[in-house]
Amino acid sequence: MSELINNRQERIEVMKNLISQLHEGRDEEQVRRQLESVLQEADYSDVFLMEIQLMEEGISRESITKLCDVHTNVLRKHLDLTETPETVPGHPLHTFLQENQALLQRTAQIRQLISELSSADSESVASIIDKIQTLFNDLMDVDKHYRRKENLLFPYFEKNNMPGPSTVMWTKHDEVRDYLKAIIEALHQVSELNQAEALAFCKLAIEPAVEALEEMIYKEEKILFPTAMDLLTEQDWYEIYQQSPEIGFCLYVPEFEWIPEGGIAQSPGKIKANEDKIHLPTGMFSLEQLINVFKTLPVDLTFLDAEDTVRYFSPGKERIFDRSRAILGRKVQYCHPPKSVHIVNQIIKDFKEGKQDKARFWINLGGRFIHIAYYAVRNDAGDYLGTLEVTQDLTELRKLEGERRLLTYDEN
Amino acid sequence: MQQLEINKFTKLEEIFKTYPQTEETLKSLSPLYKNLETPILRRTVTKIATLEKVASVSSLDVYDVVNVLRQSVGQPPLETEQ
Repeated sequence: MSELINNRQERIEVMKNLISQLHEGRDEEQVRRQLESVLQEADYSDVFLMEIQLMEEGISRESITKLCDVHTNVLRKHLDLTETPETVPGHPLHTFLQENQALLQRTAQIRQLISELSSADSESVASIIDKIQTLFNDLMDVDKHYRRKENLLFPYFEKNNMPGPSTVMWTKHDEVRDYLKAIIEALHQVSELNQAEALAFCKLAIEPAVEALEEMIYKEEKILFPTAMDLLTEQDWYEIYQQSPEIGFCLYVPEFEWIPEGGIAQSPGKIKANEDKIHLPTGMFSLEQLINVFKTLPVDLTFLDAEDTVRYFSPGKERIFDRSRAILGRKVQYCHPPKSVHIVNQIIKDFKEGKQDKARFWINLGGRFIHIAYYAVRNDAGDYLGTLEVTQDLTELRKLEGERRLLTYDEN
Repeated sequence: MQQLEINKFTKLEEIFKTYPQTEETLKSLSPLYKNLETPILRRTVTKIATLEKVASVSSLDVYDVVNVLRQSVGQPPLETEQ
């Protein structure tokens, strides 16, 4: 019968009719089989067009969003044949795909931990849940992946009269975000659960959340990204490339500079080192000087803004705690191990409420004496602007005695 | 309140909100579902899990679960023939 359905609109009509039956509660398996018998192949863009037309015909956005996973499932056999586009390192699409790989590594680890939970004794339950929570903190980074799609990629679909992705996918993003937040919040308390309850929680809440995140990756790689590759020009991608660092990356940082084919049409928006001076109330730097002053400081700095988002860290030569650019744009609450996040929250709360301006810790780390201090950053009016973390290895300084008044270089 | 058609894609939260009596019916189907009495589980699971997922973690057939709940709110059973 498929040879009869060679017209695109006819093909979409058949899909719409079958998908509409799902709305009426018909069994997914039956619809899937019927669809497979009717269609030899479904083009990924057909899915978008179908969604748009269903919306135009009065099926609510909510209903379509709700059935989005179902109709992707029904079409999966055909979509599986769609190749995920390949691009060069640095290209925004390459970055999206690398991020997906990093996310899938985490979801695989979570599934493994859930399987270990089935036979865990009561002592191991808390430790497994702790590990799952750390992995969920990582998954929260998907927010930056989604925000780059929503704010940088979707506008090109809308410009081309393809509102499907932004209306349906955006809602699915919010659903995944809600799931992740709800789970992280719950995981703080799950350690109080017994093994059976913890397992029920994993099976009924964590697995569906992980599935929702993986399902979005599938939709991106089989539907959204192939369509985007057809739709966007190299210059469009370059615009996305330039604006991406402002939002930040998800568990992966592109290391390669990317120049679009045909060169750069517009001058880069980035500040050029050496040309622009940064004027401060007590002096000025070139950007190059400022970058290297921060690099030379004998302390490690990390700054988070008033919304608790990590905005900067100094690129010290031997940082005490490793920092990756992937944390930029991440909420600080997802940067700390589950056991210490409540302390971070307490400090920030006290800073925001103006109760405290400083919190200090010192720890022994592999034989080194590490001083960690948090400072509230405020403007002249006392408004809270963020928190500065200053970490310093005091091991050598603590050993100093007497005086050194003559020039003597330390051994490196 | 708008009629909510119960099927395997419906989330527990929607079902319990629309038909509060279904919560006890569901718990009676499997000891596993009794875990929903734990507040933290209930709060998170009902928000995320669909009936399909709920059935998959027990030994119950999804249509048995769907149709028991449908029956309890006066909805006709869904056909299950393959």
